[in-house]
Amino acid sequence: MSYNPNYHSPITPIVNKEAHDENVKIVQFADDERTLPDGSKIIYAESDQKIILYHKKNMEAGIIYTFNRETGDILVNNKKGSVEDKKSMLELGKYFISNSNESEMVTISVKKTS
Amino acid sequence: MPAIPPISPQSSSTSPQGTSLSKETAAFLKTHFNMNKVTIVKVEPGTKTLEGFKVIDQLETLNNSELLQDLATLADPSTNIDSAIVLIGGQDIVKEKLKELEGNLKKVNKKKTKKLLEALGLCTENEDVYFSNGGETLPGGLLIVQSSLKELEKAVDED
Repeated sequence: MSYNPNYHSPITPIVNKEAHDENVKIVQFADDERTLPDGSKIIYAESDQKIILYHKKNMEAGIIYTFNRETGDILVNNKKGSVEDKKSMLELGKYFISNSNESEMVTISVKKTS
Repeated sequence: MPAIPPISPQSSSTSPQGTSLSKETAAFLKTHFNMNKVTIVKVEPGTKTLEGFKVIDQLETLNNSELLQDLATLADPSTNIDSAIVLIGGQDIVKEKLKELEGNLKKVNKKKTKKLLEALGLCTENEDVYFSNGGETLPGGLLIVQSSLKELEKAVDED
């Protein structure tokens, strides 16, 4: 019997060699209702490529800061941001950790195949 | 310098003296500190370092945050270390602290989390995601945030 490289057995998964797993983590308060002292909410997320902070003030639209770990660029609500935006993101991150403690936080760990 | 006392490495998958890592501890160390392989060793009191690893002093007196900080020092995620030493006494403390942190653990609402990932631009509607740790949250996470903020701070300094 000759070998056919294009044949895939129906019980053998076809593996896309380009595919790779990406780890994604979300860090947030265990209690969904928990807010920071100023009444806002912050959710942190990261992947191999991005660091993300979602900031939502009461009665205002949320802002998503996306820092690209590879290029060092920042997007604010998907629009190109500036150094000042990076500083704002940093300040928000510091505010988040200085008003939280480990025991009230949870991490969601997700694997994404693309 | 005093001689390093003899050590007795034990595989984390076997537990002749009940010292293997619990699933929760292993998942916690892997997720938070990239520790894929943990070796448990015996160490005599007073030892400061062992095979290049820092020995954590006075674990009993440390609070959660300090304990986690020391673990982070032991295995800094940025160095991509894949093994670390957890001391026999220390692991009990880690387990104890984990129990405190585990009070908040809950099942992940998968639909809601998928929507959140989409909103944050971390996946598209058509992409599949798989929830680690049996679809449950892991305790804590502030060190993950702290570590990334350092990365961001460095980028700001370089601009």
